[in-house]
Amino acid sequence: MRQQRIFLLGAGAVGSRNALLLAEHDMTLIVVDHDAVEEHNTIGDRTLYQLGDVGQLKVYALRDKLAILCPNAVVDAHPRNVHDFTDGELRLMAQQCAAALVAVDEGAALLRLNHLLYSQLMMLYQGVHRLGQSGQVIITRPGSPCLKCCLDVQDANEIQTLHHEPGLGVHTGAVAQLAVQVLVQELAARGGSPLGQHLGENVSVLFTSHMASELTPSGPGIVCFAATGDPECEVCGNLNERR
Amino acid sequence: MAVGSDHDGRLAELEEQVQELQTKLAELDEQQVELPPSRAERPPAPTTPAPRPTVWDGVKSRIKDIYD
Repeated sequence: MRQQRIFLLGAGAVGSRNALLLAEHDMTLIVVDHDAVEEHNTIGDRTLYQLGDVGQLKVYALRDKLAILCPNAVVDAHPRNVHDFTDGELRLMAQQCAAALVAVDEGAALLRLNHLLYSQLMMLYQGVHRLGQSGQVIITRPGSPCLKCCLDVQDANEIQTLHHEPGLGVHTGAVAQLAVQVLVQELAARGGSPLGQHLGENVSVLFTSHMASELTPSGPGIVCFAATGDPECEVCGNLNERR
Repeated sequence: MAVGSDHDGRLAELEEQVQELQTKLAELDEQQVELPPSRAERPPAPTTPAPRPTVWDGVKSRIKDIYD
């Protein structure tokens, strides 16, 4: 998998864990995040960052961390906000990658990435819900429902960022692990789709509950959903029709 | 031709009918017959119940609120 390059957008709680798991699979990473490590990022086991990293840009702190944990890791670090890249720059970086993992929780950035990169490569959007009780991995591929259709939103204001959520590392780690697991299996299949074979061709949303819930009465588990693409969607509508 | 007597006879007949109707009306008043409520007082006609939210509807409302 060393030849596989992954576009990782976001290096926070979920993204930093994605990076470690991908590096363990010898994947090359292009990492984008403009934030610096803050003290609250280091509390408990929420991220890979430690107190000594406070003040450093996350992408550089992450690259240094991976250099110790996975000495063969190749990390191309970009300390910039998604919004500061031009459309062309984002498309060019995506072109070099086999897939993108998105660990960003800002609505406008998510919809911009969906709009720009949907037709280029497989994208996995991750998120953790209130208190870390559950999370999600949304998978889009050219031809499948796009993120906008999966979330059933018209604009970015409908996506709410849950600031300063006290989710635990085990919760964010579970979402990060699920996404990397799906990604690695899909890339290893080279053409076939384990996701489609095992979970159903139209599965787009993996909802993971970290405790017993209405959806998972027996305890922690994953529930799969098939989202419906809007034929009028400006992102995936035409591609859905061609399917 | 006794036109006047014909008129008198018809008038008496009509007075008799009016009397009968008034008697019937008085009887109905006594019975207090319940009339159907006016449109405004009528309870609303039963409507088709809204479809029950599905599991996916519940999940959709949840996956829009995230942190990373």
